[in-house]
Amino acid sequence: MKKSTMIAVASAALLATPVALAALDRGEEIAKKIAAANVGYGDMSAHLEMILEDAEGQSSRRVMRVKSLERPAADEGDLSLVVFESPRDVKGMALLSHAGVLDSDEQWLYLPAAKRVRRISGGNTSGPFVGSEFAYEDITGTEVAKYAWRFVGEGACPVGSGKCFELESRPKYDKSGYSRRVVWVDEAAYRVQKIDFYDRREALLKTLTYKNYEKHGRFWRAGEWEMKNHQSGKKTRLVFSKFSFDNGFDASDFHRSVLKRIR
Amino acid sequence: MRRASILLALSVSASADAYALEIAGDITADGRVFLAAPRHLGQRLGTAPSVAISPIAYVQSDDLTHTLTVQPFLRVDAADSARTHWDLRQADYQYADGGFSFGLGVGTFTTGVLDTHRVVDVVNQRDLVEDLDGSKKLGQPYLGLGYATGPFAFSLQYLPYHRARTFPGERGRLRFPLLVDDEEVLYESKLGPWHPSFAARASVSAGAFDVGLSGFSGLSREPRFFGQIFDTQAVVPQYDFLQQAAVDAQWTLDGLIFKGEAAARWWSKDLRFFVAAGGGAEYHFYDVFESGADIGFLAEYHFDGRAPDAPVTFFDNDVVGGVRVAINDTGDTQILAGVVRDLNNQATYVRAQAFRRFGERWRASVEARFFLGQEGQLESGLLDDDYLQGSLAYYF
Repeated sequence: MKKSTMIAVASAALLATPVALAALDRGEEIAKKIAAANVGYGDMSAHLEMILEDAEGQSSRRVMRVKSLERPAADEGDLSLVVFESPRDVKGMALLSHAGVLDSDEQWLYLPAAKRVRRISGGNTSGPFVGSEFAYEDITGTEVAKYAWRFVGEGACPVGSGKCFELESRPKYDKSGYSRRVVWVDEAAYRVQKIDFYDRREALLKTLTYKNYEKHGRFWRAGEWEMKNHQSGKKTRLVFSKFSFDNGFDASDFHRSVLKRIR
Repeated sequence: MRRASILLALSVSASADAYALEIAGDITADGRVFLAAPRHLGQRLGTAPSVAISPIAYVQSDDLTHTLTVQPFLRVDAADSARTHWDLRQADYQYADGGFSFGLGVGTFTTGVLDTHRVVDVVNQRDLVEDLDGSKKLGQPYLGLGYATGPFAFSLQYLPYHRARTFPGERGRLRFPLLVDDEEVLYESKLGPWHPSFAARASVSAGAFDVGLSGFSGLSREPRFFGQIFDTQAVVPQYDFLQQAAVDAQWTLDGLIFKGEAAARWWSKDLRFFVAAGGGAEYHFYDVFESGADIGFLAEYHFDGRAPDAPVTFFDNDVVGGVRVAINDTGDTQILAGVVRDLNNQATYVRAQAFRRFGERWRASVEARFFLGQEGQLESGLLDDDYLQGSLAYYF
């Protein structure tokens, strides 16, 4: 349950990290525009259903409530809270994250069976998030500055219609499970359409496809994320619903002391 | 101020069912097999089934301002009538607005950072008949105030009533040679269990550091035992006054965590002083061999300087080693194993557990506990109580 800024999942928060660079690759310019398209969302909450399918088509399901608060300061990431509703043995389990940009995230886990708040450590980047095909870094590793970007080209989007930019990003942080990611983003609204993940041996490992984009105010959110693991044949779908913005959250809604009241 | 509905899972509009009643919880069936014949007079073999139900019912406003919770617990045990017991783990109203919070009722509270023994965690009585390791607690009547702001959190609790510890009965396993009289309880205070206790805590979280300062004044949750004149097989527990000042701290790095707790205690009306402390470290290897599995290692040390006539403790000079393997599969399969060894008398406690979920509502676990050591020690009453346990839980 580490490094799971699922809110970042929820908000597709590709956070802008203002880093002064002398010469920007065109790929990095585009990456910054993707991030900029999400600045100013304020706060949000959503309902998330995670469907895990193995190669034989057997599936299991997880249900979570997620909410997040944007922190405008450049050196602070967002605040987020994930509460599990199902499977029922983890109902009420809650993960609170105060994301860092340059520092690692601060995270607290609430275990309802023990009624105990535990400070937990980050450091798990390439491991799976709650048994899914999503690694922690797929959820948290979205800041522009965490990658070296390269512009590959442009053409028809691989999913949906319209024209897309194709970018390559290589992780600059330690312990990544990937050598590189290939990202397709549409030219019209800078919405990420598809990401191919290559493992450390440069073999295609996973493909993430974003579906059912809808506009909430001026922000686009994908209603469904589908991650397919080409090596294991397993698949995880994240289905979002009940997106709600401008909820009036403040920092006190994301203090570790609220975890005791989570049900 | 508008706030979001946290009951998103159920609500179509935030206001429509802001106060919906929710019910969850579990029913668990256990089977225990003891590997040796009982050693104490009156004990039965104890290889028997047992069932526990722990529902939680709550009503919570959509912004978390108002929360009403009722969580009873009931166990029916075929082997030991004293283990057939019920309790209210929680039955309280909580109010919260901004950083301010208020609570009234019965609650269960856990503080401290160590895994095997927490000297700062003194608010709730232990439900010892439920689990010998003290991890299960009896609900504590309380009135609490809290304030949280930025990196800080403060809390004050008034605890008007003292709960007596539960103990196994005559027929039960996992007990000491002398029975604990469950009808008679002695208190150092003339007010008996109604002698009030107070608990205060301040904590700060700054970057990788979490530090808590806490105080407790009132009646000890740990009893000492007195013999009886007419019944030489039973002892009577007495709860003395306790004043405590304590600190707990955790330093959380990527995959590596350091933890420590220390308490200064003044027990009985004579304010007899001692120090109890513990420290430990945890290290996690994530995604081992790209398998997705995590392995965590834990080491702890506990020290307790109390006098021999003070309430007894297992953790007087003990080391702990543990390992946890999480497969990170869809069933959240986990394997835990640990050893506690007393450096004074070499008494050793070994425990291994494995869990797995099946579907969305079932969870199975198997567990083994072994007690090793020599005769004539505090722990030797448990030497023949090695057991295996299988459990199946249904979550509703």
